[in-house]
Amino acid sequence: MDAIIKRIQKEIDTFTPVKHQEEVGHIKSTGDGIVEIEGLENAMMMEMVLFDKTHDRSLEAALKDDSLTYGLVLNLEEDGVKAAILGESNTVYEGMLVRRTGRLLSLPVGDELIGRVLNPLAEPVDGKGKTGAKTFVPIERDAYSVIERSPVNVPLHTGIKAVDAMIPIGRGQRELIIGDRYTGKTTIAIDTILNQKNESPKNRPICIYVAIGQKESKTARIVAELEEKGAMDYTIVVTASAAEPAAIQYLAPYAGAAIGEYFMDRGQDALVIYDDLSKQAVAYRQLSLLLRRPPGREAYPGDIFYLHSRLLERAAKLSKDKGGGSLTALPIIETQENDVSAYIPTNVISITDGQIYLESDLFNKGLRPAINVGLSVSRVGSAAQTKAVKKVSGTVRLELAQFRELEAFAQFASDLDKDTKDRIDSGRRMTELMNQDKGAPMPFEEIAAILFAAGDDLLNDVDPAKVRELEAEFKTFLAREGVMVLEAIKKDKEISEDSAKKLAELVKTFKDRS
Amino acid sequence: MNARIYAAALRESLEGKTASEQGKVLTKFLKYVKARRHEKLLPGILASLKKGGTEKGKETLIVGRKKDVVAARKAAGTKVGATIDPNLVGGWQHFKDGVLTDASYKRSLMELYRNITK
Repeated sequence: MDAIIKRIQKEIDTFTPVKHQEEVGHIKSTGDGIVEIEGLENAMMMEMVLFDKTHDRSLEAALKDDSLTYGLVLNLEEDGVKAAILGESNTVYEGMLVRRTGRLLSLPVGDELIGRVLNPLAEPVDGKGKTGAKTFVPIERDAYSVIERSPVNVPLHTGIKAVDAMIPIGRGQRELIIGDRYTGKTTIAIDTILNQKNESPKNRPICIYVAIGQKESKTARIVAELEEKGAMDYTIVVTASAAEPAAIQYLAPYAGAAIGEYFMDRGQDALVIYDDLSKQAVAYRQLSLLLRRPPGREAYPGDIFYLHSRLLERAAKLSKDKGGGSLTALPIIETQENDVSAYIPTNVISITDGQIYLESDLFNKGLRPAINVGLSVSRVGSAAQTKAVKKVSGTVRLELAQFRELEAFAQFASDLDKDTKDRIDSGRRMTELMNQDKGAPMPFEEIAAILFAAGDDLLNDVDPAKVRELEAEFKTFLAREGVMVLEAIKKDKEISEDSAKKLAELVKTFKDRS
Repeated sequence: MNARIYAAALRESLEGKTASEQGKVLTKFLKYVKARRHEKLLPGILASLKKGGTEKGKETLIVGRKKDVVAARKAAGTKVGATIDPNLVGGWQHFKDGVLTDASYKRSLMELYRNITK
């Protein structure tokens, strides 16, 4: 044993550690999640830096706590840099050594992330252990050019009748969901994720839900609902709660986009929901003010538009040469007192390919989803609508528009002609038909069948208050006796003549029985 | 203008000058500050001067053991005075112009630990 000890001792005495050279700086000041670093003259913008906790500690103390705290370089200044702390601020102190990593901020991506709940650095927060993802991609990258894209022509079914009929969304589109607090914005997003279960596994997009500045209880509830309904099998949740530093909330949407792009680049479809970008704008404003960048309108920095435009431009439908994959974005913006003409809402409306506008008045009246059809639009339109739904939804929007005009008139007029009364009643029935329960998305073939039936006088002379009940009964009837027709519509993606004939017969049978 | 910029300018102006020249520079500097009515910044200027310059120009040599000093100076190519920090366990660290050359046992052991526990 003595001989062994002596030999090991000799090895230690003659040990020559390898020299390692790197550019370092020291923290000059720190506060509110921002550090001012002296040195690091060659640091890059958006480079990750490492706050070295071990530098002035003993080896034993360093080994006990070997967690790494990173920072993100956001300001390049004359004699140093400013960086945001991506982690616990209380572990960073003045005089601390800061090392360059030479890497721009990147995160691990892969199929291993599916079903997991992560933070914006792709670290798991669901307590299920490491993800094991090994492919690193930069959190920010340039959007695909015009030549590399193809037109949006494949529908993304939300399972919500009002949306799929009148505001159809395509894969690769950016459709904004905008409205006041508690108007059902998140519900539309979650129902869209749940509805992807009705797609075949080959056709099903990978869904990424990015929670920005949300209450952790809300995110936990959403994850529980997705798990309960089996949607976590194809969903990734990225969360940066209200308790996280502003830098983490700022990065969350870009992390979601980077994860979605991984799947898009492999020829798959992906859907990313940013809930919500108003909170990202507020976080970015906080960061910019702390970095002493000049404030502009409403104290937002001058590049607040670019914050959202470069994020949303990453959604695309790629050309066949690039694999044909797509990334669909559903950004959410919260308005104050239904003001869509405010700064951030108007910015994002001008970037996206349409908006779904939710009104609190409609919500309080019982219309759910509380979509204002008049102000909502999909700029891609019927190019991204399944033929089956397109065929039967043509007149719905027009009918509802006419109803809205007449509805106000009807409150004041005492004597209405029969035609006007009929239109008002028809509009009321159609409005009721557009109502849908939360968490109950419908497959497109069912939506097509119901709208077909509505157009085929199913709702004639029905009391508007009883429309939902009738719809539920008809759905049950279809599930029992219309399975073949629904299968045919699902397979063909359109209502053929034969299917139309059979549907008409089913409607007649149903009406005769009830 | 802030205290840090004044201090940096003063530091640069004093570099390479004799004691009497430095005295003249300092007199002119104080006259300038008073003329600009920035006397309130003088405590901040003093604090910044005491803190030292930017990373450029700073040089330090830290060794883990006394017997590492000679080897460290030779390897780093410097004659600057060495500080002993037992936390390094052995080996040395040389810092100059914002670049850290780390040949300490501590770094090697930390790297070994991280590789083993990955």
